[in-house]
Amino acid sequence: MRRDRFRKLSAYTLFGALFLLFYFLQYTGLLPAIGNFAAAPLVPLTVLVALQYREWQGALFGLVAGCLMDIMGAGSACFNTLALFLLGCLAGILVKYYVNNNTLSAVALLALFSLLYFTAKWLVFYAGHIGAGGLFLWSLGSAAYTAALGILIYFVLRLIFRRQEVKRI
Amino acid sequence: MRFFFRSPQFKKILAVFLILVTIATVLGIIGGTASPGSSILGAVVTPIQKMFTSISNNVKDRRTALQNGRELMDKNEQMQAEIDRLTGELLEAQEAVRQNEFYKEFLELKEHNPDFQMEPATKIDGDNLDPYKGFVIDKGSINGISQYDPVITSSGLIGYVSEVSLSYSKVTTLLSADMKVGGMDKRTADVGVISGSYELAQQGYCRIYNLPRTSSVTLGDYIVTSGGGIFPSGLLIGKIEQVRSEENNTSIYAIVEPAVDLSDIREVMVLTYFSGQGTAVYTPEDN
Repeated sequence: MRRDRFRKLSAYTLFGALFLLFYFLQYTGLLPAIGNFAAAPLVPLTVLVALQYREWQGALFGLVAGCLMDIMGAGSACFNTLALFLLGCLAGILVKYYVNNNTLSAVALLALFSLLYFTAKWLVFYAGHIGAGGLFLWSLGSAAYTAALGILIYFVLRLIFRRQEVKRI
Repeated sequence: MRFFFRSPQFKKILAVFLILVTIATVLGIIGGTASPGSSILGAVVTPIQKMFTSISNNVKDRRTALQNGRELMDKNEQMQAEIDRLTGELLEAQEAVRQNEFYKEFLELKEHNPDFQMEPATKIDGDNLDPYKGFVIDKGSINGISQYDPVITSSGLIGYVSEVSLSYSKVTTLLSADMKVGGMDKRTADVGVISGSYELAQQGYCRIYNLPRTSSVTLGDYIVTSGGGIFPSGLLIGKIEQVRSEENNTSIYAIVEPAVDLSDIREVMVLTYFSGQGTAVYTPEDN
C-alpha cells in the first residue's frame, strides 16, 4: 500500500518536474531550434499525462499548461488553454475507449496531436498571412520536431516507470 | 462510448469547454486583453520567469566569458578562482556600463522629444513558437502601459504592445504580418506602409509597400515612422536593402532591414505618451 502510494507520488513528481523543465526550456530560449523549426514539448507531455491518467487529468494538465503557454505565447488569449485542454481530454478518451495503450498507439497519438496542434495554430493565426504556405511548412516541421521530442520523452518515461513498476505507460 | 456521452463526466468536460470558448470569444471581441486566468497566473509566473531569464542570461554570459578565458585558465589552474571572481566583477561592471549607456541614449532621445513619456522594461522571454520573434516584457497595465503603445530602443522602433496584463505585456515586432505602420523615406518623403511576412522574418527583414510608382526610393535610404495614430513621427525603422515592383505593377515596395537587431534585445522602452498620440483611429491590425 505504502509502496503504491510512493510510486504514484513519484510519477506525479516526475510529470511535475518535466512540466517545469520543458516550460522554462521553451521560454528561456535554451531549447534548441532545428533550422527554423521550434518544438512545443508541453503538447506531447499533455498527451502523455492523458495516456497515463486518462481524460480528466489530461484535460486539467492541458488547461494549466495551455494557460501558462498563453502567458508567454504569441497570438490571442486562450488558444493554447483551449487547444491543450481539448487535446488532453481527447487523448484520454481515445486511449480509454478506442485504442490500446501500447507503444505503437502512443507514438501515433503523439504524432497526431502534435500535427493537430500546429495545424490548428496555423489555421487560427497564420492562414491569412502573406507567405501562409511557408508558414504551413514551418508548422509541419515544428510538429515533426515536437512529435520526435514527445516520443523521446515517452521512451524515457516508460523506462523509468518500468523500473519503478508503475502501471500503464 | 455511448455511455461516455451520457455520463456526468462528459457533461462536466463539455461545461468547462463551453466556459473556455465563451472566455475566448469575449476576449477575441474585446481584443488585446489577457484572459483572467493568464493575468492571475502571469502575476505569479512572471517574477519566476524573470528569475530564470536572469539565470539563463548569466549562464550565456559566463559561458562566453569562460570560453574566451579558457586558454589562460588551462595554463594556470591556480588562477581559476581569481579569474572567476574577476570575470564576475567584470560582468557586473559591464552590465552597469551597458545600463548606464542605455539610459544615457534615452536621455538624448528624451531631450529631442520632451513630450515622450517612457517606461523602461526588460524582455522576459521570447516565444520560439512565434515565427515573427514576438516577446514578453516585465511591465504591464500597473506600470501605465496600454495596448498599442510603441516599443523602442535608442536605435529605433521595435514594435508595439499587442496584449497587456497587470504585470506583463506582449510585444509584436516589425517582422510580424500583423504590424501595419506608416513609414516614410527620410530622403524622398515618400510614404508607404511597413509590414512583415514569414519569409522576410526568417531573414530578419520587413517591407515597406504602397510606395508610389514614381518614387525614387533607393538602397540605403532610411525609413522613419510617418506619424499619426499609435506611433510618433520620426522614429527610425530601418534602412532599405532592396527595391522591388508589386506584381500588378501599380506600386513598388522595398525590403527594409530594421535598425534594431531583434534577435538581441534585452531592455526596451515603452512609449506610454507622446503628443498627438491616437489622433487617428489607425491600429496595426487595420488593413
